[in-house]
Amino acid sequence: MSIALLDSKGGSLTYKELADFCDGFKGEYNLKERDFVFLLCGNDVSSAAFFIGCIHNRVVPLLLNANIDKDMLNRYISIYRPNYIFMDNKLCAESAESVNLYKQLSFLLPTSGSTGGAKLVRHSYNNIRANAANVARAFDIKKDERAMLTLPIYFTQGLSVLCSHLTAGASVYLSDDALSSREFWNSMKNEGITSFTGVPYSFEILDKLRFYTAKLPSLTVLSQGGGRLSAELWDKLATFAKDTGKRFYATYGASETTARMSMLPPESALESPCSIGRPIEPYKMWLIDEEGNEITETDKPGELVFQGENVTLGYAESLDDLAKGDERGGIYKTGDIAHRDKNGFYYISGRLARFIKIFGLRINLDETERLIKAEFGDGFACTGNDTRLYVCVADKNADGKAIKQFLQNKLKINISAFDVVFVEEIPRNQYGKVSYAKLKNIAERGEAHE
Amino acid sequence: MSNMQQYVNAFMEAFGVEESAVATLKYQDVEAWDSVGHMQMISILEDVFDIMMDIDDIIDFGSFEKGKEVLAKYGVSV
Repeated sequence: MSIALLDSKGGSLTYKELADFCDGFKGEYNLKERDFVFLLCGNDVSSAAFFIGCIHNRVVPLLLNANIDKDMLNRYISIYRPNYIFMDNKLCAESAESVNLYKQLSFLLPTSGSTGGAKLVRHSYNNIRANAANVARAFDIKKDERAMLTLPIYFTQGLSVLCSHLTAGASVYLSDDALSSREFWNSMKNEGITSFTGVPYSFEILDKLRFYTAKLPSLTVLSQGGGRLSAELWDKLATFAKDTGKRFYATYGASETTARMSMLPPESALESPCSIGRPIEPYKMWLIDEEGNEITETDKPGELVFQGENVTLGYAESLDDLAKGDERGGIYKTGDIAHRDKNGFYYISGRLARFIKIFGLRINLDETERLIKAEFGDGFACTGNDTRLYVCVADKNADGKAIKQFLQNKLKINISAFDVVFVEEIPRNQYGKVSYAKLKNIAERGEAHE
Repeated sequence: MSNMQQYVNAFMEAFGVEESAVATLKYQDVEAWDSVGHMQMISILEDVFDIMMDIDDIIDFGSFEKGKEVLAKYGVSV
């Protein structure tokens, strides 16, 4: 029997068992179509199967981290009033009132795994189908493959690995084990894993572990998304893949596009370092200037715009928003600045919005600033780059250690990502708005403060 | 500075713990000793003692005590 799902705790389901589970799903959990469920997921078979069961039965889940902060969970509950919460393999009843859900709404993901915002991305049934099918084809996923899935399934990229492999009839091995743990490496060696998908930080860990020397004969695919690799690490991975006959896929995606938008063909990895490649077939990508006109010249930067069936319906910030239809019409302005080379390969060079990515996690700097102000009062401003988040403060008596500890607790990101930096004053423009460009300069030059 | 002191300092720096807590510390005892903290500590130790550990040794470096055995393999006695 072909296996659909496995996990590091010994769970497994064949395709037949998964199909039977889906067929009996509504009876088993006493759920009906268009019920709204919070799915608190770990990377395990029961969470993944419950998600698939929801999609098949038109039950709408919001996927959240099983280890979500209590306050944050309560905030989501008070805003979105779910009918049920699924956690620890049990379904608990919540609100009895039915929620007005758009008929094509299939599932919801949080926009950010970490910051306080309760903003969600609304996905249609067509989104999930298009992404799964197009990714499976672009990556040429075969039935006999087995993906290692350590990226959380409440992240768009993790969910895309799950759905694309199931569409292809391949199997997915779900694991919550840390990449530096003995358990993870035992699974990599002994479970017939053929592909590993990670964010830049995952590959930094693999690199520091010098995994190049580990004996992983079944591993054939390395797939990277979720931000930019350093040129040095890119070269190491691309060279390693070439020397050992593996395929290294660099990809580009976003929650707003049900994961993958573009992919660089593995054979171009060494010649086109740090490129995000071309749009996955049949999607389209182009660049626009500040006036919104299309840029046709090569190597000229502009905002990257994307078109495809995987473009999500829009966001939700309130209960009423869940009834909304498609607000994007298949087009998504990424907010990323990119250029295109003569081969038609795209390269990301920056971002328009105030987001940073640390350890592969997207952090909204404005939300983070709000969290700190709510706890410690005014006088703080946040900035950062893709390695550090700086909390700038003008008050010499501020407790840097407490702030960093607070951020670790709230954002669930290791404390080493944060610096508290003293500034003479927080720079502002003539209208009194914080000048974040200046602040970033100051912070990056500044000394860390304990 | 003695090897032992440098070893202790690496733990204090990587996990933000007091010196008194170091000797009995194990992986995941404190929130900061997650996979990120783990790699941080390994980087510090490799710098300080000018060594390069193998993947298996990095993975098995699960406690302050166990770490002493691992370092001994690289000719570092603490």
